Amino acid sequence: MRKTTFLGVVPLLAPVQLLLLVVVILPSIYVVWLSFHVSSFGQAPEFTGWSNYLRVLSDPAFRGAMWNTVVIVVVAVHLEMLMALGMALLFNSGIPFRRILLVAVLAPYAVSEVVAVAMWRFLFDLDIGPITLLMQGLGLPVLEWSYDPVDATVMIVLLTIWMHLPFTFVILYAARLAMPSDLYEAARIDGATRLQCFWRVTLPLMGPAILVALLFRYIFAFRMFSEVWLLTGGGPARSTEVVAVYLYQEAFSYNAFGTASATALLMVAASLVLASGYIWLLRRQVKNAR
Amino acid sequence: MAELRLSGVKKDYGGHSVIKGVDLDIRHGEFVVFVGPSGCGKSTLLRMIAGLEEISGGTLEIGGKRANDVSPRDRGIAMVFQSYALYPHLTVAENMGFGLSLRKTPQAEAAKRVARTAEILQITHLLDRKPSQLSGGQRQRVAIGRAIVRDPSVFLFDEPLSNLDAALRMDMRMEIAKLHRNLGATMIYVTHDQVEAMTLADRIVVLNGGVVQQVGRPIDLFRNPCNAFVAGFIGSPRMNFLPVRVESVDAGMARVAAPGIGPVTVSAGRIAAPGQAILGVRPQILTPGDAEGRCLLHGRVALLERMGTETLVNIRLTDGPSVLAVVPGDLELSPDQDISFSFSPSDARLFPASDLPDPSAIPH
Repeated sequence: MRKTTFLGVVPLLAPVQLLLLVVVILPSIYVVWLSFHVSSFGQAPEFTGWSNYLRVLSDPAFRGAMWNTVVIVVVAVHLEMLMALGMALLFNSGIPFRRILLVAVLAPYAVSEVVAVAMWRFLFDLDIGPITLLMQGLGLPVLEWSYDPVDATVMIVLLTIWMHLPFTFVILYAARLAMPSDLYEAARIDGATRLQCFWRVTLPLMGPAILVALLFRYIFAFRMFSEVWLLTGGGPARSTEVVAVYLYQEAFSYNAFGTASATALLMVAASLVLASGYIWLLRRQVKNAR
Repeated sequence: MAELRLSGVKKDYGGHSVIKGVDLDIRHGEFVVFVGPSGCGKSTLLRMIAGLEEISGGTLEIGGKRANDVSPRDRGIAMVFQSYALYPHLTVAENMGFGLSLRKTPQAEAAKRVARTAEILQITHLLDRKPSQLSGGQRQRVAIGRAIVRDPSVFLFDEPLSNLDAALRMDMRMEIAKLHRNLGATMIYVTHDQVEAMTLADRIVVLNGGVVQQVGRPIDLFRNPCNAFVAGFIGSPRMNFLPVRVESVDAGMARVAAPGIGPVTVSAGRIAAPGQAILGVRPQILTPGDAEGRCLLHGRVALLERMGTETLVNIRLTDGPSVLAVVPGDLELSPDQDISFSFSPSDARLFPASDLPDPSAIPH
């Protein structure tokens, strides 16, 4: 057998490492460096220490964006989780036309975000949107998302749930499918009602899958950009801005690359905190399940 | 009291009939084994008694009350699954006490019952472990423990030992027999292993194709199988079946012959007229050599299995089929050696040819 040495393997790994270096590692280091400098077009970067971070953290627009992000993340991710769980259990319980419905549920994931937002803008258009007209026809309140901040937020939440539900659903549905049916038979014989089966068998056993889905969705949702940027642009009057949109504005509207970089690193920090909490829970869960 | 009565019990899956009308009375405290080849409907029948499968027709009575539409938890039954079906997220103690906690049994009482059961099954040291930390045999004990804790009137076992290795299976078989003696509960046990059936059962129910073939004490089924299927299924190794021609029937005795066999007079069984038939000869009644009044078979040794305590000789008869003989002790033979075996006609059984439309369909 031929012996593989470390040096023999390096050339094979090099292309991937090089790619990572160029598109991930170097830019990351550059962003860290930038976050400690004042920088804009036509101006030599100038070291300022932590002042970019202080500026961002004391900016009311950033705090507003952070608050919006947290609200949208918490509401959207948990609503989505409940819906996905309900749907996974519904699909598992044997509904008719399961295959066709499965395709229908998964379809939004195949739609590009830009197309999805354009579609929703049309559907909910205040003058000609079919859904707006339908709601009006039924005498229901209309989502005035283009000028009411609350309605706009609701719209963003609905849109992001619609776009990401397939992801959560697939994870939970797969987890439910993987559960052996004889556990339920044993539970039925042990005397469990359907509700008791859910609370005492299904939920604990799906726990790890739910946590994984939540973790991913928290991180995805935290860096949500296109839904907000394309739908409301952060408006009206920056009232629906989320952190990623704030970052974009700083970088490309105000050309303040230093504060934009600081914002990005603050997002990373926040995501890490979120993720580490979940990973801790996950490890405990997995250890318990074993 | 937990006697069971099945009358005309049927199961259809979308027009396909799996259980074709089963009538059976099971007395309180009896150990009944359902046995048959895979797909014979024995597990389905057990699951119908458990309430996991709907009953398409007929009635099931448990303790004198119609139970067709009673939910599993109200039937007073407990079941041990082939896969054990332990809850992976709960400890052994929690698994065993699951049913009690669902019924809101006071914790102290539940803990006491779990501890007592664990003691019976010698799994006290495992109570804090998760199922994944247990061996197959230990899991099986926990599964049985979970059933015992609930103190059911009927225990249902669905091939509980088939995932264990041979040595462990024998140990657990004895444990289950002991358990039945000590608990005195009604037990229904499904298996495809006729040794388990023979050793555990008060009565065996042989099923084939969703139809009960014969019900009776193990030894009665062994001695007086009602048809060739039961004869082939009960007893190990399987009974030899030799196609023969019935030449005459007179006063319950039939004179049969085949190339290389007989003519010989055997008990006619269900045969009433001359024609084709099957002669059933258990491997154990074949002995080497010949003697007065015995029926002789000539052939060559095709295969020899020496177990030390007994020798299995597969003989290809000069004029047709192979037969298997089990001879006590060690027998030194060489392959292809010419050999004669004989049996006493009174030990052979005669079956109608219609019993075995396809002789190769009998398992073993």
